[in-house]
Amino acid sequence: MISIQKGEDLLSISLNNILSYRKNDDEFIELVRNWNKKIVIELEDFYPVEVIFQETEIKFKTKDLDQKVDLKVFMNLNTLLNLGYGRLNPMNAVLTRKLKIKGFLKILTLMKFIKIFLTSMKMVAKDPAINYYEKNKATR
Amino acid sequence: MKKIRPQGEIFSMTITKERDVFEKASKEEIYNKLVDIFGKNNVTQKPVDLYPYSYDMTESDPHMPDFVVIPENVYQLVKLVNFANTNKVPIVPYISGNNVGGLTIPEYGGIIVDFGKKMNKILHINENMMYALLEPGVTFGQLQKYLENNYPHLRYSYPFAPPYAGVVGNAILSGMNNLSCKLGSMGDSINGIEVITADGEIARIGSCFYGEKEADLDSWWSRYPMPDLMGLFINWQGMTGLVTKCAVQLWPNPPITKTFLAIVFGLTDIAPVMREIGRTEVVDDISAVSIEVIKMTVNLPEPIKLPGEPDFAALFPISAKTENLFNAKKEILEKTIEELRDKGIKVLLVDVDEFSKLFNLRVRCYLDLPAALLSLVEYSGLTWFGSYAPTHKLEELIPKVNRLFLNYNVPPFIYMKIMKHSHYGIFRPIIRYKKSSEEEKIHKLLTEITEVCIDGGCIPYKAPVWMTEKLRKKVNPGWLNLLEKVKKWMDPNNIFNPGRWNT
Repeated sequence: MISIQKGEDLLSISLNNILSYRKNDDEFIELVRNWNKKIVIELEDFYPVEVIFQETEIKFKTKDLDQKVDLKVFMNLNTLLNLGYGRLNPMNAVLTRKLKIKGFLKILTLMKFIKIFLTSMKMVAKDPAINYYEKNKATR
Repeated sequence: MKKIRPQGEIFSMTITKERDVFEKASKEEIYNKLVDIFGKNNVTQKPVDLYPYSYDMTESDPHMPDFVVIPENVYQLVKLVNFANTNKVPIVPYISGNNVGGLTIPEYGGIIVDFGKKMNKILHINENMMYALLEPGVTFGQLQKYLENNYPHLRYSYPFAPPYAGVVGNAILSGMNNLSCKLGSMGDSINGIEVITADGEIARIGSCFYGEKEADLDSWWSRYPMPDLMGLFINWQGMTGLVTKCAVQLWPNPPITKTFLAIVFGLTDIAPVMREIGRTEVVDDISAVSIEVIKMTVNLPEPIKLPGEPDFAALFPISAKTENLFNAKKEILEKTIEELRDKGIKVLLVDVDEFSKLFNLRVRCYLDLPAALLSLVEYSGLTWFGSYAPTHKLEELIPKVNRLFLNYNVPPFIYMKIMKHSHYGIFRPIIRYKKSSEEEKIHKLLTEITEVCIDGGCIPYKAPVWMTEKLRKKVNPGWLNLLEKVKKWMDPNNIFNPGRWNT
């Protein structure tokens, strides 16, 4: 079981929503458990969020970010939506500089991040259910 | 008078003020007459039944009615008005209990007329001239379902209110709904009303005025060009008569609808964004809320805006009959946003369906109207300064009101709308609070907000009596005298919702 911190800022709320979608999925658990990496995601016009993968936890940080992180990704909101909804593939996004990555050479980290984050985002985007309370009956 | 509730909360006891309701007829005589008119099962004077009618969610002082009646038809109500007028007994109309500003709290006791239980029929839909003729108790959810099931090509306009809120009350109090950028106030969308005046006469206003007795169901199609007597009842908060039927306009329900979300950085930059988009004439509605409200919606009850976060989110629904028309409207919207960005305004535009999936589906409550918004009803208390506002003053009002919220350590909840393609706006600071422990603080905050907004030229709607008391000191004396004269002429014995507007 992976524990994902509840966000207090808009981007962490969104990241929690995206990553929680698969938190009971074995493949996701396998990918995330003991990954122990720090990734910074920065959306243009917003602010950077550090996503900390630590043992069985995923946490978010928006201030006092670590100087040394494993990967930094930078894009704007439209690129994020285009990636999530499959209108743009990550390679094209990088080539057209819509997606900028610092730590690009850490190819395994990058690939794993794509598998964790982008795949989750695509799954959330593809889900036809749009009624929160139908999907989360226990919260009624 | 204070009393302790079993749970330990302190509340103001709901008692009846000493207007002599029983000056001319004893309580027993009134009760017997009401039973005679409405039948025993439709009249109550038991405190346990009366209590829910004595308060609302706002800071308005609670007050017990003496009786509640459940009418079934207009003829019963004519008898009631004749009796009440002869005996000087107050009558207060009530629909579904989803009230604010003490609108249906019987300030001087008397009789609550509960329309919601039995006078809640959709009497007629005219497809050709697109209107619905309604009894006062019809709710938004009921009308929406009825149209979806029977007239899917027609639509009404829905507010940020629960499905159980009343359509007629919203219209005759100039509510604002999700087509308001096109239509303006819902009061403008009334074709006609039937009303009982203090002398017990049934008056039909609008094109339904032809005919001595019942109006033809297909005659409720316009309020013009005869002298517009509708103004004697709209926004009067039930002080001039008892509205018993109301015809509201419907509109074609276009097959394509999509809502866009603007995310705006900068506290005051939301104002030009809303105004400019309003002027494009391509969006159905413009509703903006403080970013804290979005966070409340995703279950952060007392959120604060963190550095780097945007200040406002605004919704722009677009509807169209064809893809080409939709794309043209979308292009105008996107171009306007680009122009605003070129002027240095930091605003992002996204498809809200896409965004809400990735952000949190809970925010869709603002799209699927009518809806009970959890962020509004989370606590026992809810109040606001709801006002029509001059849009050129928004840049001044937003920071002042935002600061007041923060001074009181209350998360800012500013809700705004642009009406009728930017002819005017809505400025509504909203406060959710715990009635048992925060009433005094919140009333103080609301008072300060009220003063700032009235000084800024805002005009409150559904205003509670303490607010109209403030207004009376500011408005043109000629207007006030005319209001008093009309009220006195329309309701010489002050039986219709007495106390409203401090009458």
